[in-house]
Amino acid sequence: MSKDYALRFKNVSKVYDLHGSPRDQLISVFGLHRIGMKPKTKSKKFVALNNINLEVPKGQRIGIVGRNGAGKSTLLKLLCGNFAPTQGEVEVNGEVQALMNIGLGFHPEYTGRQNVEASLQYNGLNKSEYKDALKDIINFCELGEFFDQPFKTYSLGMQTRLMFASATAIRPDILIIDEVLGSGDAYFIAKSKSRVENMIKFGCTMILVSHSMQQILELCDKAIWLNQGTIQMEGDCFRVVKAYEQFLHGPIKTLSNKNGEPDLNSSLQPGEEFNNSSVSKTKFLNLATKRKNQIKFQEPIFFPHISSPEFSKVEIDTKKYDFVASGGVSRWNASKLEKLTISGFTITNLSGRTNNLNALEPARFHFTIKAIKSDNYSCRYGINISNHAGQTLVSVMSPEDVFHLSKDNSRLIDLVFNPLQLGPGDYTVGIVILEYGKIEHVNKAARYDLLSRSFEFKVVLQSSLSALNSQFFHSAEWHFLDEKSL
Amino acid sequence: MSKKFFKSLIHLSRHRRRLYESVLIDVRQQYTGSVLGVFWAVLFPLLQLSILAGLYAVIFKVRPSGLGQWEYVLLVFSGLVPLLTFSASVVACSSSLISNKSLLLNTVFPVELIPIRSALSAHLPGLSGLLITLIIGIILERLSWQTIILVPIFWVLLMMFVIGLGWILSLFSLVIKDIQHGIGLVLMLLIVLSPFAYTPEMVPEALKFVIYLNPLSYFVLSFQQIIAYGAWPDFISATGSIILGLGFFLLGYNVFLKGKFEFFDYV
Repeated sequence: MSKDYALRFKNVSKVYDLHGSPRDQLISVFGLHRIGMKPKTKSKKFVALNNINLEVPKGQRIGIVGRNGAGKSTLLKLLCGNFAPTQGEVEVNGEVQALMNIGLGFHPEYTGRQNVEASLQYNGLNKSEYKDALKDIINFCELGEFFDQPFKTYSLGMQTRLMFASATAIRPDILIIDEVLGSGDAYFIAKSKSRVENMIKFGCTMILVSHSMQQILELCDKAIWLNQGTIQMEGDCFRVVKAYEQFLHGPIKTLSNKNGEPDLNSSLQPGEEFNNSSVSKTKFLNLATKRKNQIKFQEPIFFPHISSPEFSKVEIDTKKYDFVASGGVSRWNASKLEKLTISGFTITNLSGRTNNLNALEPARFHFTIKAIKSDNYSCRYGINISNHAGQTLVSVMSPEDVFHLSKDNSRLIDLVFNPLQLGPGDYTVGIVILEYGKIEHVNKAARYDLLSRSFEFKVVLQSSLSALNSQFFHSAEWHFLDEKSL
Repeated sequence: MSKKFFKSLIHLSRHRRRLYESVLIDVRQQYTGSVLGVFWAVLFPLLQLSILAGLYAVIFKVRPSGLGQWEYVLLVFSGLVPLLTFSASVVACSSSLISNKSLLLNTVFPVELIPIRSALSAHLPGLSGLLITLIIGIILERLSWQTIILVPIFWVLLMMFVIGLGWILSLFSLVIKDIQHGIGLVLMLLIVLSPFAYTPEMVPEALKFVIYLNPLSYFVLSFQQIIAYGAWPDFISATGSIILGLGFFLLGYNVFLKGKFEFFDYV
């Protein structure tokens, strides 16, 4: 029976004695009070875990949430086998690998390669397993020539990358991860996550401790909420995370609306700010009064495309690449048509050229295409916006553009986001020119030019709205109805 | 000592390979970054032994009866080697758990091996000191077939003594930080009181008990008799070494097994 379980906690308690001084600690540990030595202060008991019962079937991925001091780390420590519970029994079936200590065996004078070798050795790999793992690590951490340089010359980010890579190069039966995914840049976090996902695919049981609810939801299939040494809640990730977040944020009142029903006129104020034009106000009122039931729009109020934003008339240069992302412009080869090329790019907002954009305010992307050969063209343009994890958030395709362009002449294309509905964050932009075809066949369309993730911009949210921080601002309508009128 | 105790000792011995590799890594870590590198493991004991032997032979002009100057140097060397090895290894051992806390969270590398690893990697200069001493012995034609058999046996006994002590000290150091400060002094006293530069005959009868109160004397005398005289060690020294080596090894392991859970809570 017990073999079905990777881990089992039976009535496990862990009590720490907190002593007043090193001397008192000594007296207690060696039982010196029996020979007449008295501690100065009485020791206090700290119950880190209180009567925990837990069974984790093989192959399950458990997420543990809880505030600092809730007993999460104590629970993980007991799994390692070097620490004993005060009461109860901890059963572990299988080889445990803990990612709590990613600095294990790393020496500043050693090169990356030597450090990896040492770390893998302490983690129990033999020489043949080591070779495969090493290849895997080199691929993962992208250190290049630094891999054979002393560890002390690494930047902090590089150190983290190497340590994480070597710690995850081992495929244990039970994997314990304690908050190690949160280090490094956005790109690396995304990469780390896919690496952990890969490990899970091999069927190992995972215990993940994280303060990132998103990680728990993405990686685990069951969650446990520890609170003051006891299991407060156990079960489906989504339910546990929700309850925990409610517990965390519940007492803060600022998010809830005191008035209950928002007043239509007062809610115009923010709306005005975003649309930046008096036209929108009247249009909005017309729209609202047309409806039979008084419908209400989301706050902050904005209506996509309801007004024409007035961009400043300042001359902008679209002959060159502006706001190039780190790593430069990456051009993918034209699939067959080397006739048109994207020769310039820039971004403006209402006041001029910038790549610091405000959420819910208009923004305009400009790009220039140049003909390499004179011809009649029928094109479709595409703009792709991705976040730093590489996920595409926005993909906009243009309708057909038919034009004639002689050699070395340019055509200017503008794309207006009215308003920009993306939430705060760092984004990259990719641009493509395709031969026009049905939208269903965009993937197969012949390509004139493609610049992948080549430009970057940042979106910030005005501070009065910081409570609404999210990835995307959707427009929506609200209906408030009395029950009797249904 | 129960069956379980010996079972766990046998279980530990299965990790020989892992231990060997970790010692290699530890040794390399100690010397990496220095210009001379692992060469220090030979240079250091050579210089250390020469300084001390020179002090007694040339400056103090100690000369036991029946020994030439080089024979006396060999006598000092063969007594000093176990002393210095003991001292270096015990220091490394006693801080091994405190300075490797992260290894306690490692689930693959048995914690019992941590003090052993530190002892073995710290005894490396001592081992090359032993080889230097043996080479001098060969040149002076003092070695005999007893030497070849007995040196490895007594060396193992010495390391068992160190490791046994190391298990206890490393564990206690987690709670009594004072051990780190006091251990150097105690070791210095033990070394000074050891009969490495003189023979027991040179000590006044009334003070001879001091020599036999010092556990290190048994090893010093054994090694001197085996290497410098190429003879069997006398009964008292040999028995003392065997009892200390085996006894402390078993005692230390027992203490470590029983106490580790209690003490690790204070890491």
